[in-house]
Amino acid sequence: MLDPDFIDALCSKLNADFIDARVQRHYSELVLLDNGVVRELSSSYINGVGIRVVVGGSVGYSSTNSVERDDVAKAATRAYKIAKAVSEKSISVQLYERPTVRARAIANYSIDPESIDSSEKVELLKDMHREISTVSGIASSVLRFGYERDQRYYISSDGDSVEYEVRMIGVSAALVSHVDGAYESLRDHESKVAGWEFMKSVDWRDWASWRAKLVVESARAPRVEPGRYDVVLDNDMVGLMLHEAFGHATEGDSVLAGGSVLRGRLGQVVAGELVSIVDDGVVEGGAYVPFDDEGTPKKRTYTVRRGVLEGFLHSLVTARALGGEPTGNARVMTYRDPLLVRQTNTYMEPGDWGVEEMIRDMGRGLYVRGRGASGGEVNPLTGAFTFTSGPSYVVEGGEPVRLVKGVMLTGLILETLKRVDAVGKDLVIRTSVFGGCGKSGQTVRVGDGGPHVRVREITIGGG
Amino acid sequence: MPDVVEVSERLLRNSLERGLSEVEVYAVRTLMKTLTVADDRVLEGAVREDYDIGVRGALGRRVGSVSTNVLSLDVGRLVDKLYASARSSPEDPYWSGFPTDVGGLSQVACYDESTAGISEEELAGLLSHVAGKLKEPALARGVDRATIAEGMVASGEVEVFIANSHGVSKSVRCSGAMMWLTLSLKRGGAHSDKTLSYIRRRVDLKEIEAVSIREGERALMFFNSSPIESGKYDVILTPSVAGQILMSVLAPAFSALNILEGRSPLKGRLGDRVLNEKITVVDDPSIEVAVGSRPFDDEGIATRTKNVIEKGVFKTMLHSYYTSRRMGSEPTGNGLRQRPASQPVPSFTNLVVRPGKGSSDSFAEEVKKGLVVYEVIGSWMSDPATGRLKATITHGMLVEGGKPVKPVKGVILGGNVYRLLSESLQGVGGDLEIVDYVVTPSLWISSADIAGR
Repeated sequence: MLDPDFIDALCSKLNADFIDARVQRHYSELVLLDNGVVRELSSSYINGVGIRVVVGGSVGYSSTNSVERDDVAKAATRAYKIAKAVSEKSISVQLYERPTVRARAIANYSIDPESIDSSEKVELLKDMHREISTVSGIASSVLRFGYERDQRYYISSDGDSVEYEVRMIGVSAALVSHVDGAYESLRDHESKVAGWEFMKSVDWRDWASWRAKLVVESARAPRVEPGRYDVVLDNDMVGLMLHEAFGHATEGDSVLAGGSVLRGRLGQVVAGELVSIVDDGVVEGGAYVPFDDEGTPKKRTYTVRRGVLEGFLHSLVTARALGGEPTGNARVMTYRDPLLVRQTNTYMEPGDWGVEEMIRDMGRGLYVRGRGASGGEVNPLTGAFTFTSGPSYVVEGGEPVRLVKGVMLTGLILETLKRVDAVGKDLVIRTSVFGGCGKSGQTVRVGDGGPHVRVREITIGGG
Repeated sequence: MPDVVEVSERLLRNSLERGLSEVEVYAVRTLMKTLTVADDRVLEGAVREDYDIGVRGALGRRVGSVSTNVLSLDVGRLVDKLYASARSSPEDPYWSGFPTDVGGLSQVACYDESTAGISEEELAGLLSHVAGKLKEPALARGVDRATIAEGMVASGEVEVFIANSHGVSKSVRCSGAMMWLTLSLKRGGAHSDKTLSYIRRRVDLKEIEAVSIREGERALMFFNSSPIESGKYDVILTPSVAGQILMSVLAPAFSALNILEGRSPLKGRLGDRVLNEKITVVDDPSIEVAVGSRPFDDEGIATRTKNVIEKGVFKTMLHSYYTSRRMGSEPTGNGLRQRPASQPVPSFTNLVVRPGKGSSDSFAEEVKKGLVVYEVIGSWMSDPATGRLKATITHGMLVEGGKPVKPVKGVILGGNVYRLLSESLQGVGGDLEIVDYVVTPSLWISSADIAGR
């Protein structure tokens, strides 16, 4: 068994400054139903240990798929060797010295999905497919059931010992409609940090039917005219916008590298005064990140409060270098990967507007909906971000009057959030077992959301 | 990879003994060294050696799969899980088994010893050299600051082993190198940047020096960029942008599986003219340095070069073994996997657009008014099922009368890719570049929708 004493002994033997280890045991299941035919019914086991060695301020990583002490010691030696090899060209890294953490956490669940036979998971998707097949105009349906159990154990030569376990479960749908010669597609998912009880709590046939009808209706809808619009964004779209338009630029490693337009702007106004943005590891509906992969407890962190840039998201390295405090945002996709500063659950705090009220008050514009959105991307250095929406509504006379499809939005980090002039009372946060946020080749589970929000003058195209 | 092959073969044997009617094993070993860069210095080095094994098994027409990276995992337990998966799976009415050994290997060289076996010190030296070349043009013109803000360089090898219960047993080792570096410039109070991206089977120092200097020169173009007015513009896609767009919105449409399952606009269009006659698209697994090159696909079927689009006409769809049997066609060697345990799906090895004449520079001189596009984000959100292109331009240059007039960012390029590459296509350049799995020249498109101010 690996423990902090073993890692400390390795550190002494190699004469390193610091060593930490990320032990991961990951189990996942996927069922993929392609137009009613099972294309994949798989289980996957990924176990291993990732090692970081800090020596003379230089950092090396290595990993092994074994938890045996001899193999971990060999990985540490490889990490030590590469750290020494690049030391002349390396940044001199120093870690923030925080108190030792010894803790354990487990995300709540009541029915273990691993105790449910695969045939029941297949049948759930087949039920959904049968429902979808009753909707005229559906050309293709790909349905997925996904489940994962992720057990992470962090130990360091400073004596940290932090363990947590999380289960995520959900369903996704990718639908294509073909109506009167026009194709349209829609992707959506529903996931939760939970066990099989979540699957029993949702009417999946109704869920599938609603989306099938929407993609057929969208095929008949006109494309949005490119241009500048006042918009009301729903909860999903606000989450996407915050994650892309702001969240990435607050990640301490990008700030430290000079790769963020927010560098040097702490204390400056970067958003409308109604805007407060939070990154939190454990929230209803979101991903479950009670500790980061450096063993730091995830703190509820304001990056923006009432429009002012208040702080960045940090690892031990970036907190020390940028004069902040660790926020618990150092994360890895798997034990194999190096640490990056990542968001956890990003959301905007609610305000006091009603949804109908802000649409009515807008008069003319777009009501941009997130169901069917495919994601977003940002260039945090240039400051340009973009994201897509699902089928949305043209607003005229203060009412959503007709569906439009093909909406892609873009803006500039330092401009867009300043144009927020109404924030709703509602708050919804979502996560996904099927994907997450990508950065430098690593995808980690995140959540995002917020209330409905109105933004003036945003660029829309891609129709 | 003796351990992985031994474990794979044991999994194959034990699965058959357990009662599965057919079994296929896919194993991959990755050995990679990586240096990450931040603010002009190495942030960290990493060396990794990974194993992944995927096993698919059939009970008649019921198919299940398992995967693991744990070589010490109890083989019996894994086989039990595989058997249970197959038993729980409903019958696939189209299932026609795993392939037999249908055709040797194509002659593709994908291994370069110096790229695979590069030392940590050599990798650090390569990084310094390329970073220096990238900064050279800016430093020569006296910017206030030129730094490599972020990036990484990686080099190593990937070894693949494929075997099944019908006698297929093949392995191949390919090298690979990857580099992306973002150059950040400051001049006065203004900022500009440009990212170098380079992925090859082997490092060609002269080529990467030339690419670095070109990108370094381009980085000087984007100070004070901003959105332009919405409207119809002639758009000149440089090869790196054309490559991204073709891969995301066009390439999946040629998959026989997507065609069969009703999520390709090319369903029922084989033999039809679907793009401008200036466009010929080839699937070519034999380009020595391109990362898609390989002697056989992920099912062990020999790869081969074929015209997918010939002078605008849809000639060949891409097949996995499953789709070829389902459609009564010959396999094309295009069955590729997303994960070791997943069913191979038809995909390009390398997508090559045959060159025409001209270049992004010559097109820019020729166009009356247009937008030359150097970098985009979000093109992966385009929809291959409908052919709708969506991409946000982060690095563009508005040109008028052959002269650059304004750097542009934060505008959206949209439209139907089949229209953009048919009646709207003005030119296919001769300036071929390798962009990941795509080899393409610049493309000049007229009257594209730009959403901006």
